[in-house]
Amino acid sequence: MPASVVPAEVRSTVSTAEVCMSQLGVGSRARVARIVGDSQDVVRLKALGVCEGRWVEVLRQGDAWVLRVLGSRIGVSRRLIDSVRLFAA
Amino acid sequence: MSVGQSNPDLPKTATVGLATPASATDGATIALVGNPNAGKTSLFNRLTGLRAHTANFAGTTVEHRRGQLKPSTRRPLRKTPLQVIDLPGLYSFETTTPEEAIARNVLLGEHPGEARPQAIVIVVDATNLERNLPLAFEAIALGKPTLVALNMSDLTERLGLRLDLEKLSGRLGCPVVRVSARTGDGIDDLVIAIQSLADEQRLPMLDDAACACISCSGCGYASRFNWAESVRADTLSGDLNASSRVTDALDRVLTHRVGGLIAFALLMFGVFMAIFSIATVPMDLIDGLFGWAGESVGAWLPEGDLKSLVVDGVIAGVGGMLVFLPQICLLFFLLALLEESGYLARAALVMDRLMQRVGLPGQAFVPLLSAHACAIPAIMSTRVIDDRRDRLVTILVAPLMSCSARVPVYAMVVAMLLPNRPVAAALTFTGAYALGVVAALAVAWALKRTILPGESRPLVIELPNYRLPSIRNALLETVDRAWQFVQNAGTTILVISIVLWVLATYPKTDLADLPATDQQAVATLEAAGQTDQAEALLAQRSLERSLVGRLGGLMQPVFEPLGFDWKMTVGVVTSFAAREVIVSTLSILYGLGEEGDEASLLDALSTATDPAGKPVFTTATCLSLLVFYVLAMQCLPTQAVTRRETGGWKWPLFQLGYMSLLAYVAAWATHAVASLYA
Repeated sequence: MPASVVPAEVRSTVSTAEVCMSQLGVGSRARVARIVGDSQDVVRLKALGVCEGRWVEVLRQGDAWVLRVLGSRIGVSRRLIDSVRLFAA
Repeated sequence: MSVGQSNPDLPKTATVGLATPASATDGATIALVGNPNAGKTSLFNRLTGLRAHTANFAGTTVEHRRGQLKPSTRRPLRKTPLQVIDLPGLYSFETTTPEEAIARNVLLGEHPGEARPQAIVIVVDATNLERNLPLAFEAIALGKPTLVALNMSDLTERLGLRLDLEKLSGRLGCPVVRVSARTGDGIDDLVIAIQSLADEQRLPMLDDAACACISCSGCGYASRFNWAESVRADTLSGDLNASSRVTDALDRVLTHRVGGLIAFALLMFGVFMAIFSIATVPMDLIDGLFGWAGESVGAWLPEGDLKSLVVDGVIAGVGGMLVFLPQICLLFFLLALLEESGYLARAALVMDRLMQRVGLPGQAFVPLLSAHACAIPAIMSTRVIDDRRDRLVTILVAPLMSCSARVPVYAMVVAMLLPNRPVAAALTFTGAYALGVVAALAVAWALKRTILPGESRPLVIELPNYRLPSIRNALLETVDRAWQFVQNAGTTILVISIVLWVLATYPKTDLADLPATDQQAVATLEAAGQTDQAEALLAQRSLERSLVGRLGGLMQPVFEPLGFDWKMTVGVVTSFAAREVIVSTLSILYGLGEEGDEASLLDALSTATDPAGKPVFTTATCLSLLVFYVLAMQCLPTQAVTRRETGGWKWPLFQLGYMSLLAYVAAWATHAVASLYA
């Protein structure tokens, strides 16, 4: 399985008020606090609506996650999931 | 609303809020821009009808469609029709793929060789305003004459959503036209609105909230989405989740880890069943048509080189290519339907896990699978892959998948190898297909670790709502793609057919040129009334003495380690452009004529012996020949399409080189190992 694209030093700096996306279960819903990284894939994630302030809902987990955002679904590789930081409930 | 920053890609001269009419422009270019699933291309087809054509953007291999805007039924004809250009879909001006970058550059007038469009039509999915409006915001902020085509408006009505068009137009600061590309409703209104926009050159005026987004700093995406959310809340009301319910229900199965794979396998099985069953009828028709054309033209032309060139070179060569057109068209058609239905995005999702293991994204799976019918549509359908390297790797390995043109070769070799043993024959046939799949995946893995390094890009894909695909759009796309294939591969194959004809015809051999024993054999056959056999013997000797025959003789030492005799080597040379040609070449070389029946050919091959009296087609040689044809390129139309998709001859030549080397080494190893056990 390919490693997460989020660098370890960044993963270790998660604010206590935030949670990593991978901590969410199917059916959970949370608001995006920020997106970590600046790769093209992260940019694409933002362009598809996974960006600061938007609500995301986890519809399916696995090697590829399915999220509901902006009323429609997007498929996201597990490698990118932890670049999404959410506000803790 | 959170703060945002202005997009650095936007020109500093953006004139939002400064409406100054410009002069009317006849023959102006109108750019169609929108998110990938907004129905932009369907709308383009409605706006241009059959007046469109496909072209590459200058200096790139990125395609687009452009055509004349069809006239309105309620307006007089324009002296010079407006040109509509269908730009690649994009989500934002901060682009992540070459296609998106070109779409943005064309809009900004920064693409060399492409004039900046005079007006912009933004295609927006009315059922999903929040996702579509951020791009509309960026496009409107360019300050060019703009209007919004609110596509899928029929769906909003059906779902009971209420849309305040006037308010929406006010918030966007430009005209908004309700339209349905699926039903054609509102198309005439849109045509009139586009004509007025081009004539009056009215500039858009975004609302104050939008202007605040442009001037503030922070996350541009967040501010644009916040603005889009506020516009949606202002203008659209009703049950917004209604459009997703059917999709949610279907996705429970189609994106399921196991259920999704089963559904995908069943669907692909259905696609291939359709291709291999339905396509045989038109394929037989085309085959018959070219056979009839050859005979008819041959009857009109006097005996000689011209007749041979036209009948054996041009008609046979072009017919040999066009016979695969029904399979190609059917594959394009079915893939277009699947793509428009929204399913292909799910297929990429469920296959992503498996494809990532060889360094390719999930989107590569459908093109690779399609290559089992024909590598040409497979290579053309790699355009769904975002990353250039991933796309290139997929193009390079697609021809390793066993296409239908390999079937006659496999059938000949397997029948020779395992006569009257149907189970073993079926297993060998399956093994040949499996070898192609394993080789393609292994080469993809190797390429991603050597000359095209880099982990495949993680999947980020929109899963649009399922919708009923348009047969009209799928047909238009099929005709367009098929025409591209005929134009590109057709011209190449025509030239190569003529070259191969010259090589196989000259120097000419007359009866008088043959050794006395051969002359005697021909005379004996003719005297016995066996003219066909006499002609076949003459054809056999002519091919042996032709340039291609001599070339085969010269190259024979190269192929000897593979167990090939000189006749097989000639077959390899003549089938350089089309692999199935080896069957007819062997038929000629074994004295059966070009269309010797299968049983006679198999009999002749099975009993063939070398000068020392040993059998030519041993088990080791048959296996070696099979492996060689599983892995060798031997298809010029595919090479022509690779050239077209990669923008030069570098990659097709690499493809030819590595596949030939791989085929040679694998066939040699097979022969060496099999010889030990045989």
